[in-house]
Amino acid sequence: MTYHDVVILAKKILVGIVVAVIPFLIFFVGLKLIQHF
Amino acid sequence: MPLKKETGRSILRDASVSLLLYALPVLLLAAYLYITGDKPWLRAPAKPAIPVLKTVFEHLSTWGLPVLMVGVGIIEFALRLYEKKWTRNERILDIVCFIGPKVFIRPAVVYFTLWLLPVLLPGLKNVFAWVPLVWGFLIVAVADDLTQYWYHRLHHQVPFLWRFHRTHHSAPYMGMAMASRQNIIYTIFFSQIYLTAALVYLGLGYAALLVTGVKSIITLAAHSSIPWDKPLYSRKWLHPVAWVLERLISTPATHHAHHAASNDDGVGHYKGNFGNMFFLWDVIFGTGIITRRYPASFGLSYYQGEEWYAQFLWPIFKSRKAGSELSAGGPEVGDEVTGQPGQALGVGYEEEDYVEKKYLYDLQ
Repeated sequence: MTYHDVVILAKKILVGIVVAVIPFLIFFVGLKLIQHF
Repeated sequence: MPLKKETGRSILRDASVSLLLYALPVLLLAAYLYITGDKPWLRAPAKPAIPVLKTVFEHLSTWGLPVLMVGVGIIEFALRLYEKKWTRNERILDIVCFIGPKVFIRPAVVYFTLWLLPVLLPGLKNVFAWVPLVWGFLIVAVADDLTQYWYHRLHHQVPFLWRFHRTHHSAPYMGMAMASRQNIIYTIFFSQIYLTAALVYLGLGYAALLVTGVKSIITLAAHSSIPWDKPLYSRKWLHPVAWVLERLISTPATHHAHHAASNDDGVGHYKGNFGNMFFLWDVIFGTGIITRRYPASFGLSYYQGEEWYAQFLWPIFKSRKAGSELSAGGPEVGDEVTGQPGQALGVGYEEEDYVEKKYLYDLQ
């Protein structure tokens, strides 16, 4: 593995995290808000 | 290779719409509770109304699906649906991809759920166990499948991500043998696995069990070389059912089009049809072509039969095939198709072409 491969891998993991975290926050905040009403 | 501006714009636009789509089941649940005046979090969570269903889906998620895959795979093999394309290299790759994730991914997800989530989300275990099953099902279905749509679409449209997904598209055949064929890094970092695991931790476990069971059956059936959807197109009285199904879920026809070797036959659409369980996302974002025919050939037109270990473990191991995307210093994207149809309908795509292509099946 080259340095370039490691950079691509890191970028790929970052994209994956963003794709998972954004919907998680929407569901989490949304359901929490429902409980407070 | 930089991301094309037009593609970047369509990704941003559709991602913005997705925020609303993610929020939709929660908003509908809020409206339902407001109208009924119900406050389910104030009472103890109800136990599954149909315990048998839970047992069935538990077995499905453990040993049921692998057995189903092997069973259908044997039928496909007996019917000679792989023709002579299942070479030794392809066989090893498919078998390693079938077994590998079951050895590595499942323990990783269990570890993530049991150890990491209580650290990341302390005191929140089962905090949403009050969510009624129907609503939980809707929330997990949207969460899991829309997230996989985006994970999948980005691996096709963002050049530096493509090689992590290439292995799934290199097979020159369709069927159970290639249904789990993926580069290990693509599989390990599947976003929706971790999102769904987090929702299970928060209390939506039963809903997740049902969703992942239904989803696995739909996606496996869409990859199978047994065209179960064909009778829906040949019998006129079934056309209304076909019309709804082909827009709602992935069928062999629409998903095989995604695995086509070419877009030139009016059936293939390998730069679109990204949906896994739901095809609806492709309909909403205009990335889909609905066809009722099957492509003449599958895979990558420039496939060099790269070594199984390079396909499974790139970039850790590289291919020795000169000029391959998986070789050291190889190109990010091997084929540069100009005027790709339907990357996003309405973006650089003539509606007339779309209509012409979409209704080709009517002329048969």
